[in-house]
Amino acid sequence: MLNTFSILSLIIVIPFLGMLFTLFAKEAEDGSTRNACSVAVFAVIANIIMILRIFMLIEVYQPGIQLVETYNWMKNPDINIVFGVDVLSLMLLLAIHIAFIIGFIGVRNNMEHQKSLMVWSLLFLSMITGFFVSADIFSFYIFFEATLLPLFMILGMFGDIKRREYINRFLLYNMLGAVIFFVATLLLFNYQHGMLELQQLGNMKLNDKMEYFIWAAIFISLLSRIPVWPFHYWISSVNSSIRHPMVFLISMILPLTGIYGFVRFLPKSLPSIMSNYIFILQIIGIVTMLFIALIGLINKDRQYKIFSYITVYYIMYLLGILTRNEVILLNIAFSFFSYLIIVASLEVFSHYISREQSQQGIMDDGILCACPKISIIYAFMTLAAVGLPLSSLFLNNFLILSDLLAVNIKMGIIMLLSLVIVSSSLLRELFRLRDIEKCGVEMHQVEDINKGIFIFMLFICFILLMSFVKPLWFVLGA
Amino acid sequence: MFVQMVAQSPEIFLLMGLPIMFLLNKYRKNKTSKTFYSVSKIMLLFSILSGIIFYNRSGYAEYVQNNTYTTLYKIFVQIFGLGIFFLSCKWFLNKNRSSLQYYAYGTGLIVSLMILISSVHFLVLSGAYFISSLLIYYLMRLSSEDYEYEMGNRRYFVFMFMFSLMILLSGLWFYHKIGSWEYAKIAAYYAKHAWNRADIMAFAGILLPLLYMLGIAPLHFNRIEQSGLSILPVGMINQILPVIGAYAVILNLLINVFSTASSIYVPFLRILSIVSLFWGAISATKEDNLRRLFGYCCLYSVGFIMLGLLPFNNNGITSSFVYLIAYLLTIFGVYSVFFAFKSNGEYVSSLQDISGIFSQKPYVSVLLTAFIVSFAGSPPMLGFLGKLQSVENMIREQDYWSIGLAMLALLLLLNAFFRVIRVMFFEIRTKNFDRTDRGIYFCLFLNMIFFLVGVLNPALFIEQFETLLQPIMR
Repeated sequence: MLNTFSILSLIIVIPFLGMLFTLFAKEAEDGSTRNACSVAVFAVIANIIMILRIFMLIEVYQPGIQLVETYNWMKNPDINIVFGVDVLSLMLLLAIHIAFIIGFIGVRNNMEHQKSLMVWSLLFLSMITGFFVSADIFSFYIFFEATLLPLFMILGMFGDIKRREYINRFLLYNMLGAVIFFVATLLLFNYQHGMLELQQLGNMKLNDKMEYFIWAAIFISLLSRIPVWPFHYWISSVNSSIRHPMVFLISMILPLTGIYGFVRFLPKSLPSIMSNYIFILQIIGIVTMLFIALIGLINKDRQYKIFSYITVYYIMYLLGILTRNEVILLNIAFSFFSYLIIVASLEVFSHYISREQSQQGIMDDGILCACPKISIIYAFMTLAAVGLPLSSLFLNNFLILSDLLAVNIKMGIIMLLSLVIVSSSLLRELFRLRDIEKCGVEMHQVEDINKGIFIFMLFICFILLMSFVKPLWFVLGA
Repeated sequence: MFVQMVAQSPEIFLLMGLPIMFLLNKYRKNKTSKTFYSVSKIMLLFSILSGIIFYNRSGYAEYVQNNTYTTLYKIFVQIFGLGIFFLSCKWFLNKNRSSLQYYAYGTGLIVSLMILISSVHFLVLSGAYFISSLLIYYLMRLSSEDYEYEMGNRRYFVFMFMFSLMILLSGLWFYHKIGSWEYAKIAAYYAKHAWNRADIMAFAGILLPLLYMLGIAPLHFNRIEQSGLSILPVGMINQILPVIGAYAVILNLLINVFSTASSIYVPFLRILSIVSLFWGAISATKEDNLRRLFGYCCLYSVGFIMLGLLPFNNNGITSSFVYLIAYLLTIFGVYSVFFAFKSNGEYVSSLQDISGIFSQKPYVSVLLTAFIVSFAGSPPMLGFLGKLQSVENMIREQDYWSIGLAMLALLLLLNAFFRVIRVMFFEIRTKNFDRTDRGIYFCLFLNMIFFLVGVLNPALFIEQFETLLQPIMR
C-alpha cells in the first residue's frame, strides 16, 4: 500500500468504527439506548470536524480532484483504489452529515430498535462517504453497490412500509443498476488495459460498439437511482409510504448517488452517441418533473409533497449537470448543500407534526399556531425551500435556471413551471398548518420542541443564512 | 519403505486415528463426543503439519504424487475438515449421541479425498472415488428416521456405485488401449493421437462421476435433497469436502491429462455451468428449507466457479480458485450460523423458524447477512473478489453471453437472499432461541477475519496462492 493512513480514508473509517461501537454499546436497564445514540452522534460530529478540516486542506475553487490517496488493492488485475475530493463532493458530504444530525434529532424519542437504526445508519453513512470520496471507477462501483445493503435493512426494519414487495422491487431494480454498472466498469477497465481514475473518464476514447454499450449501461445504472420515468414508480412507491424521518432521509440520499455519478461520468467533450441519450433524458426528465409536481400539488399527503419537491429539484440538478458547464457544477454544489439540509429539516418537523397530530387525535390545520418554536423553524425551512433569499438555494438556483433557459428555452419554461408548482404546494401546506382561523388546538395540547433543539435548529438556520451570504463562509480565506 | 511411509505420513497419521478411536470406544469408560473429536483433531493437526513438511514428497510416485497444487487442496480438505469436526462436536454434545461413527467416517473421507487429489493413476482414482462416495453414504446413513431421506440414500448408493464403476471401466479402457493406468502416459498418448468416439465415452466416464461429486447441475440432485434432511454435521461435510476434492481432481485431469480434448469438454462444461447457475438461482427462490436454499446457492456458486475456469488459462484458474475460496469460507460461515439456530435444543432448518431472529440474535443474523452478501458477490465481501476475477476473465475472453447469463442468474438469486434477510430482520419472532455456544462465535469470528483480510488485502489470497498453483498453470 502506498499510503496506509490518511484523512480521506479516515472519514470513511470514523462512521464505520462508530457503527462497531454502537453495535457493542450496552443498553441501559430501562431499555433506553442513550449510549448508542450518543456514540452515533459523536461519530457524525467527529466526521463533520474532519470534513471541515479537509476544506482547509484543499484549494476550494481549483477544479479537479484533490488530496488524492492511492492504494494498490490488487495486482492481477491491477486495481488501485483512489480517493480524492473536490468542492462538490465535500459540500455534499458536509450537507449529508448535517442532515444526519437533524435526522437523529427526529428519532431521539423513538425508542423502538433505535440501536439497530443507529448501526445501519452509520454503516450507510460510512458507505456513502466512501462513495463521495471515490476517485476511481472501481471504488466508485464498490461504494455504489455497498450503500444498498444498509439501505435495504433500514427500509425494511424501520420504514414501516406496509407492502413488503415494494422494498424488494426497489432493491432489485437498484441491484440491476449495480450489476449493469459492474459489467460496464470491467469493460472499461479491460478496454483501457488498466486503472481508470474518474477524472480520465471524460477524455476516454472508445470504439463505436463499446461506446454504445458502455454509455447506455452507465446511464441506465445511474438513472436507476433517480426518480425519473420509468424508475420513478417504484422509488415513489417506497418513499411516499415511509413514515420514519431518518429512513426517509436516507432513502432520499440515494438519488444523490445517481446525480453525482452523472457529474463524474459525463465527458467534457460529448461523443456523438451521447447527445442522443442526453436529448432523450432531457425529455424524460422534464415530463417526470411536471408530472410529479402536479401530483404533489393535488396530493393531500404532506410526505408526498416533500417527496415531489425533492424529486423536482433532483431532476433540475440532473438537467443542470447535463449542460456540462463547470460554473453550473459549482452552483449545483452550493445549492445542494442547502437543499439537503432543508429537506432533512422539513421531513423531521413534518414527521413531528404528524406524530403529535396522531397522538393527540387532532386535525393538523393551524397546528403550528400551538407550537411557536416549530412554527418558526418550519416556516423558515419552507420559505428557504421555495427559493426566498434565506439560503444558498436562492442565488445558485437562479443561476442554474438562467443557464438552463439559455440552453433550451422550452425546457427551461417547463422546469420553471414545475418549480412554481412544487413551491406553491409547499407554501399552501405551510399556510394550512399556520392557519389560525382553522386552528382547533390549544397551546398545551401540542408539545413543542425543547430549548436545546430549538437553539440547534436556529444554528442550522444561521448556517443556511450564511450560505446565502457566502456559500463557503466556513472556509477561511476562500 | 520407511522413506515412503514418511512421505505418506499425512494420510498415515489420519489412518492411525481410526484404531485409536475404536480402542478408546472399547476401553475408555468416560467418553463423550469430545473424546473422538480430540483424536481426530490431534491426528488432523499432525497430518497438516507433515503435509506441509513433505509437500512435494511422494511415497509411491507411480500411484500418488504430491506437489504444491495437491498439497494446497489437501490442506484445504484438512483445515475445513477440522473446522467441521469442531462445530459437529457441539452438535453431538447437545444431542448426547455417540460420535464415533461420524468421526471415523469423516476422518476416512478426508484420507480418501486426499488420496483422490494426489492420485496419478486411474486405478487409485477409482478406488479413492469409491471409498469417498461410500463413506459419504455411510455418513448420510447416520440419521435415517425419515422415509424420504432413506429413499434418497438408496438412490445415492445406486448412483455412487454406478459412477464408481464408470470410472473403473473408463480407466480399464485407457489401460486396454494404452497399456497404462498412469495419467502421464495417457496424456502423452493423446498428445500424439486423435480422440475417437470410444475414447470420448471413456473420458466422459471419468468426468461425469467427478462432476457428480462436485455437485454441478443436473448431477446435483442427491446432495441438495439430502443436505436438507440429514443431520447438520453431515450436511456440512457434504457441502464442503467433496467439492474441494472433486474440483482439485477435475482441474488436474482436464489440464494435465485431457487437455487435448478441450474442444469437446469446454462447450459441455459451459452448458452445465449455465444450467447450474439458473437451476440454483431459480430453485433457491422457491425453497423454504434453509439448508436446501443454501444448497442451491452452492449450486449457483459451483456453476460460477466452472464458468470462470472454462478458458482453462492462467487467469481462469486463478479466478475460479479465488471464487472457490470465497465459496468455501462463505458456506462454512453459513453452516456455522446454522449451528447457532437452535430453539429448545432442536436445530431449526425452516425459513419460517428463523423469522424475527434478529431481535434475539443480532450478531448471528448480521453475520449470516454478511455471508449472504458474499454469496451474492456484492462488495465489500469476499465473494466480490471471486465475481470480479471471474467476470474480468470472461471479458478478456470476450465471453459476453456467459457474463449476461451469469448476471441474470444473480439477479434471480437475489430474490432468495432478500427473502432470507426479510424473514430474519423484518418479521416478528415466533421462536425463542437457545444461547449460542462460544465456540460457534469463535468460528464465525475467525471466518470474518479471513473475510476481512481477503477483502482488504486480496494480494495475500491471490498472489501467494498463485505460486502454489504453478503445477497446473500453463
